[in-house]
Amino acid sequence: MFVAMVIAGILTVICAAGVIASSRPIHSALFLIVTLFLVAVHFALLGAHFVAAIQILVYAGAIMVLVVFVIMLLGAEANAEGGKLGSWGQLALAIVTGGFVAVLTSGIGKGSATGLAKGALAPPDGSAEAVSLALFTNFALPFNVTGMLLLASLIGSVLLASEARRALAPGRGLKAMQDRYQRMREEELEKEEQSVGDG
Amino acid sequence: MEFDITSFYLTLSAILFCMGILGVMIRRNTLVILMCIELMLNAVNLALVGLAQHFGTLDGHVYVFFIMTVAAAEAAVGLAIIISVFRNYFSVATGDVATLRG
Repeated sequence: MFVAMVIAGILTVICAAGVIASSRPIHSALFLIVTLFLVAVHFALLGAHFVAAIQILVYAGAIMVLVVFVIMLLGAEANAEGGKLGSWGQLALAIVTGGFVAVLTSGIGKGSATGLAKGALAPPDGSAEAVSLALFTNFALPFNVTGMLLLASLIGSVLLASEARRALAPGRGLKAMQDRYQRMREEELEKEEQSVGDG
Repeated sequence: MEFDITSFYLTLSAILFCMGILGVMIRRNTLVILMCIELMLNAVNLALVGLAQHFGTLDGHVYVFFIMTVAAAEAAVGLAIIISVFRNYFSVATGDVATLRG
């Protein structure tokens, strides 16, 4: 059990490093899917079986499919990275982050709460039955509020991403967008030609 | 030294969270930044489940459930915003969206 935890933990950290280090977003997304699966493994090892199942269904399934879909939809332009940090900037950020890890982990295992019950309490029953019982009794109001939140986000994302509303406004439709894209491409070509001419 | 599950998972959670922060700071691609935010949310979930195991209560599992719901809503709205930005700027890099710059 402990061996499995440590191995899965090391793999999780490696895959998380892959997420932030990959140069292409699609590679980041694939690394993140593996990371989410490994976190589900951790949940299962901790006895949270319902949460592990939801993690795979909702995160690795629904959310990551959405992310990969958007990456594919945007095409090659999704690879744009903009300005890059210099090596000094990256080094400084790495040091700051390492310090943050040190600060966050410095208190672990020292407080009275950690010494409270080392193995004294039985791990909770994380089955679907137990968690849903808690959801529908003690947490009934938050559960319903969450439903409203999902409805609001659904309407909001449809409004944000829909083409129909924009197509009515002048200069915002699909045709105008294609024209603008064409113009941008032509300007870039002109620039390149000028630079070639200068050189 | 005795293997302490709670300490192990709190440390792992802290490392994952900081990697998410690092990703948000060094990457310039909005899609990757969104993924790093998901990474941070997962680190918090891991800490919550680890502490639920430590204290022997089920509340942590329920919190994780709610956090996942909010993360799903956040991902949907965030990706819709990215698509909307892409339509207007033909780019998803943070530096290219600088219309408000003086």
